[in-house]
Order: sequence, then C-alpha cells, then structure tokens
Amino acid sequence: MKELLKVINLNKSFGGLKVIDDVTFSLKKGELLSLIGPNGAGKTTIFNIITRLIKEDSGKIVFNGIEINHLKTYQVARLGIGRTFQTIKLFENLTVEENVMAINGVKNDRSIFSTFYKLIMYKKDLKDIKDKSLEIISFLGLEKYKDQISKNLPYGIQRRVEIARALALNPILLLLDEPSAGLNEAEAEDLMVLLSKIREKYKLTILLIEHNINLVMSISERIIVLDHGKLIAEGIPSEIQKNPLVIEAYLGGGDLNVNN
Amino acid sequence: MISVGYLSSLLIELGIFFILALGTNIIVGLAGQVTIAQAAFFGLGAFFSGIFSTQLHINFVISIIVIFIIIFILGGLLGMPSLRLSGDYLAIFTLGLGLFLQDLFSHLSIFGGTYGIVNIPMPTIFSLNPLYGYLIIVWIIVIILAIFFYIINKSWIGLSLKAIRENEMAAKSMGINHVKSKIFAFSLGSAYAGLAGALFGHFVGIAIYSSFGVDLSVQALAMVIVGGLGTIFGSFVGAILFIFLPESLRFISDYRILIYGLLIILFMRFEPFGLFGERSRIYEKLKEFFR
Amino acid sequence: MIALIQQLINGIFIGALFSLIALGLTMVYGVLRVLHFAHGAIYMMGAYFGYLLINFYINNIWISLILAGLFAGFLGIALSFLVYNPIIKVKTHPLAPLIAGLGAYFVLSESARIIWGPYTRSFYIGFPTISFNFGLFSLNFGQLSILIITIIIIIILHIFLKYTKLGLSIRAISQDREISSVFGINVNNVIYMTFFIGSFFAGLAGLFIGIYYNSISPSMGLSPLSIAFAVIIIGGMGSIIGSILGGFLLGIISTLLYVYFNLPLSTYGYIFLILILFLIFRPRGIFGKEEEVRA
Repeated sequence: MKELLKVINLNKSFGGLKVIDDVTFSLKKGELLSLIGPNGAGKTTIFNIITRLIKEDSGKIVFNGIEINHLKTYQVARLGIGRTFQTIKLFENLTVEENVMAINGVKNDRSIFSTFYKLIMYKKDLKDIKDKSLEIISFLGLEKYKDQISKNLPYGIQRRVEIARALALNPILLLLDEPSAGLNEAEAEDLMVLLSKIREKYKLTILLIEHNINLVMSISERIIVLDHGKLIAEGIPSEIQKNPLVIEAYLGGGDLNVNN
Repeated sequence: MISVGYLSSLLIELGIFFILALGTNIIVGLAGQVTIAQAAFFGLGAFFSGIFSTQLHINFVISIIVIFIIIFILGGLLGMPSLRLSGDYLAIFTLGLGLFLQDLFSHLSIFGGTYGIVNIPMPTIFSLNPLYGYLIIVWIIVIILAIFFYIINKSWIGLSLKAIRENEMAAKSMGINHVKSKIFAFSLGSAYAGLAGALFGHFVGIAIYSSFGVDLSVQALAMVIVGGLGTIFGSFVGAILFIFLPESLRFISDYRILIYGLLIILFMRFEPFGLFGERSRIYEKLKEFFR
Repeated sequence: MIALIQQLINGIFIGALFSLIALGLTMVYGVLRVLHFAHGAIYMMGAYFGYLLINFYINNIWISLILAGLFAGFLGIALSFLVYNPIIKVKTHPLAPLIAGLGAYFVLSESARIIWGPYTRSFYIGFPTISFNFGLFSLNFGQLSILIITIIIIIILHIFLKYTKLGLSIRAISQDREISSVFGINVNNVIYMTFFIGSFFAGLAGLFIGIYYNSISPSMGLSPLSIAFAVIIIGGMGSIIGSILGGFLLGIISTLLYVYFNLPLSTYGYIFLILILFLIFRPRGIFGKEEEVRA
C-alpha cells in the first residue's frame, strides 16, 4: 500500500519554545489515522505546517511522492489536501451554497484564460459549479440550508458545511481538526457516520485530530500520540489504550477507557 | 429653475463618481481590503488625460483605454504589498502611497508642478453641444463599467474575492489563489478610479495636485461605506449622496465633509455594510420581499 | 562639514517633535491594537485650544502648553469613549475602528475649519528670539526647549512605565490583553488613561509647533499624523522605544535627504517614500514583532 503522506523529522519552535520535536510519521492511502494528545501538544501546528500556513524550522513533507515544502498554501490545497479548522472558519456572510461554490470553482482556475472564461461565460461556469456543489450539499444533507447565511446556522450544521466546503476541493487527503468539538453525544455519533460515508464515497484518506476518545477509538485504524511536541506512541487503538506513556501524558486529562 | 446645462454638469459628475465608487467597491466591498489611495489613482488618471490630450494630442477613446491599462498595472503594483500586510499596515501603506504620489504630483514638471495642467479639452461627438455630448460619452462608459462590475460580482471571480474578504486563511487553505485575486482586485479597482479621474480631467479642464488628497480618498471610502458595500446600487446611492445631494442642497455644501465623517462613524457602528450593501438589513429585506 | 552638523541638529529637533507625536499613537496601538487616525485632529485641537488661551486669556506659553495638553488628553478620552470603544465592542469588522477614526479625524478638523475658518492664525506672543551657540552648531530657544522637554518626557515616561502600577498595566495589556484582564487589570480604564497620556503629548506638540512656526490651521494635523505613522512603522508598532528612536531617525534622515538629494519631493515626500519602502521590505520596523504583520 502506497504512502500518501510522509512527515519526516519535523521541527518547529516559537520564540524559545519547541512545539514540534523531531516528528516523523506517515499515512497510507485510504487509511484513517488519528492524531491525539493533550492540549497544546502541537497537533494543530502540524496541520498548519502540512498546509504551509506556517513554515517549519526543518523537516520534509512528502505528499503523493512530491516534496511540498516549497509550495504555497493554496497550491497544497489544489494538490488535494483539504482541511477543516478547530474554530469554524466559514465564509460567514455567504450562504451555504456560496461557501461550497467558492471552492468548487477552484479546480479550473488555472490561468489568465480561465479567468476570461469565468467572466465571459459566467452563466455557464456558474451553472456547472452550482450543479457540482448541489451534489455535495445533498450528500451531506444540507439542502434545506443551502440558501441560508452560514453565520446564522446552528453550530453542528456549520461544522457540516465546513466539511462540505473541504470536499468541494476533490481532496485526496482530508485533515480534520477536532470536528466534534462543541457537538453533543448524538451529534458526535452522526458525525462518525457521516465521516464513514464520505470516506467511502470520496475514497478519502483522513488524518484526524480529536479529543473525543470514544470517537477516536471506534473510528481509527491507527493512532499516533503527540505530547509536548514529541511523538510518544504509534499503533492500533487497543495498543494505544494500554500504552503507559500515553496514559501518563493524559493523567488528569481525558479518560482513555472506551466504556463510558 | 435649474438650467439644463447645470443639470448636465451634475449628471456628468455623478457618473464620474459612480465609477469611482464602483472601483472602490471592488477593493473594499468585494475583496474586503482597505485603500486610502484611490485619490492618487484618480489624480493619475486626470494628469494622464491632460498630458495625452494637451501635449501628445492622442484621440480621446484611445487615451481613455490606455489610461485604464496603465493604471490597471500600477494598481497591481499596489496590490503586491497587500499580500504581506494586514489591514492596519495596508491602510498605512495606501495612505503613505497616496501622500507620496500627491507630493510627487506637485513637484514634477510633466504634471505641471504646483500649477497643474490646464486647458484639458472636453471631447465632442458629432456637432452636439460639448456638454451634452460629454454627458452621453460619460454615461456610456458608466454603463459599460457597471455591466463589467455586475459580471464580476455574479461570477466565480466575485465569489472568490468574497471568500478572501470573509476569511482569507480559510480561502487560501481551500485552494483559492489569494495572490491572483487580491492583485486583480487592486488592479481593477484602481483602474476604475483612474478612468474616473481621466473623465474628471476632461470635464473640469484642470488637473492639479491639491484636488487629489486624502479627503478625496476618504470620500471614496465614505461613498461605499454609506451607500452599500459590494453592490452596484450601493455604489450608485453613495455617489448620489455624496455628489448630487450636496450640490443641489447648497446650504449643506460647506458641511459636506463634516457630515461624511459623522456618517462614517455612525455606519461603522450600526450598519457596516452600508445602506444597500450586500448583507445590509435593507437589502436583505428587499430580497425577502421579492422571494 | 559645519553645515552638515547643523543640518543634523535641525533633523534631531524635528525628530523630537516626530517622536512626541508618534508616542501617543504607538501607545494607543499597543493597548488597543487599533490605528487611531483621529490622533492628528487631537494634535490640531491642542494647538487651537492653546491659541485661544494665549491670545485671549493667559499670556504665558508654558502654562498654556500644559493646559493644552490636558485639554487634548480629555479630548482623547472622549474619542475613545464615544467612537472607538462602542465600535470595538460590537465587533463588526476588524477595520471598522480604523475607518471610524478616519471619520472622527474629519469631524474634528472640519469643525475647526467651520468655527475658526480655513486660514492660518498666529499667536500674539512667541518664543524669545535668542539663540544658543554651541560652537559647531546653534539652536534657537524653541529648538532647545523642545529637545529638553522631549528628553524630560522620555525619562518620566520610562520611569512611569517601569515602576508605576498604571505603567505596568499598560505594558501588560500591550503584551497580552486577555491574560491581563484575568489578572484583574481594569482594561477599560487603562485604555482611557493611555488615550489621555498619548493625547496629552499630541496636544502639547501641536501647540508647540503652532507657536514655533507661528501658524495654526485646521488641516495642520494631517501631515504630522502621516509622519507619526511613518515613525511607528519604522520603529515598530506598539514599541515605545521604537517610536522615540524612529522619530529621531526619521527627522535626521528626511532633513538630510531633502538638503542633499535632488528628487522632486518635499521633506514630507521623502518621509512617505521611506514609509512605503519600509512597508515593502521591513514592515515590522526596527523593534516590531513578525507575527503581527502577516495578512
């Protein structure tokens, strides 16, 4: 099985504080890998480095065989890496449909000529984009919200819109940053179901940051654990649960026992 | 009674500032950036119109098109620092650029130094009275530019600008080329300002540095903030409020800028999208009404 | 050579004024993270208040300077209370306070123009016309006094910021606002006080320049405001040392450039050119932090 993403010897410091300490891991195509660890461990920073929002101090990121360290954020996204954010970053004053359409049009935004096309043939261009967007929107059960302004929607729905938007990019790899944050038990379960559905339909590889241990244990194939910027454990869920280093890292934090 | 000639002059001015408002709306309303440099590009357009007509004797239509292109490119240069600079810094940059250019205007001899360029002719069509003829010319250009704005607004290009306006980090992360989009917005918005300036130059016949200062840039901002961000109608309302009304209500005219200042403060506090902006309360109600 | 030194001294004098004006701006930015455009209007208002005092009520320059500063200080608090605070609270748009400040600048400058007319006015008394000769260069009374005043202010400010409770609060909030409020610092009050102090300096500087050049006008605030921006960009936004050093540096450089270079620009033009170049190549300035600048 091919390795879709490889993070090699990643290091990053902010000021004097080392937030990522020689982190190496990889993701196989099609798998769902969860990245867990106590707060402040550096998980979101890794996402930001992969998507080039932040520059690493040293280390390589290889995606689909290509080294992407020198690329800009939007180029990495176009290569096929989509993401959601810990705090929702929707296009607040735009409707749900517009949120998805904005991203759906990215695919053929290649050159000056495409800009002309998008202007001169804007009706047709919009129709194509709209059709594609409606597909995603209905698949995620968002049709009845599609014309509503996103900032007015309930939190759980906004989370789904974020996912829909990320899917509009036709990603190969999806980075999800705490998608269940702020959701109650029932919503989190719906999310799990949704994730399996989209993973199957869109053939996604997923890298997931999560605090909800239930979710993590039931949905992940593999888990890696980050503490104070260091990778302290890697393995399948049952191994991680029993790993003493992991338990100590979480001491006073979350409970790794699934039977809640 | 108001003479037809006076009305025509007013309408020409309205058209010119409508174009300026549209351009400012591209940068501020659609792309969500800030600019206090519109006056500088407006001034450049006026100066170029003066040079092209009085010294190089270039045909009006060609002159206008060339000016649009030149300032489109220059505006793009303004757009580049916008990629690295956040709102506050960008505001200062545009302020500094505007002031620098204005100082340059007053010192360069091609721009006529402190005296400016005078005797810029008004183009005539057929054998119509120049004023009426110019009125037609200006409003043909207005309509073309308004249609262009409409297309951009409706198309995916407009959508990508709005995405950047709403949340640039998310837009970047979803693949939107913020570099291209931001530079495009500044280029086009500045070019509109430049074109408006060129039309202004031919209209008043003079281009002098003192006309193109910070207060004009603030007026441009005020037009779209009050009239409405992101919409054609908002730009139009802004132009009317800021040109038409003060002129026709002479007794207010001395208090104009004071009132603009107050309006800016009030709108920033209560309705930052402006009266007829994309997401203003009035606009939303209108949309509901038509649904 | 002697001419060069004299020009340098002239530059230092101008630089002292730049620093005074920029100090208020940078302090407010430090605690509020908003560029306070109306600062230029406060500067102008201080000059006009002083003008009224000196020409009609008090014949003493120094008392008027202090009173003008106090007046400006209260004006600053009023602005913060009426314009900035309400808009920041509503959180509509990150640039809303900045644009509102721009509006406030024009409200104030236009009010001055409507009340007192657009033409310049002058003072009935001025500084004594004595000059002090220091061998290689000379300073007139005004230049010497502003230098002394600026140095005194810098020293007092330094002590204030380092050793008083309010000063420490200001520094704390500049570093991290949320944590400061957790530690019990009344952020709102500190912000008002910061406006007061910064505006005091601006009003003082405004009146001083008015007396020195014997002219005030409603639009006198725009150039100093723009220069203040240049100073804080060069020095680094929010950095007090930066605005002081930046002010002096800018004063010296722009004076020298104007005298010895031949570009079609006035002194101001050079300042704006330096501002633009800094923003393109080193936006954080000399003492600013990188992260704050990113788009």
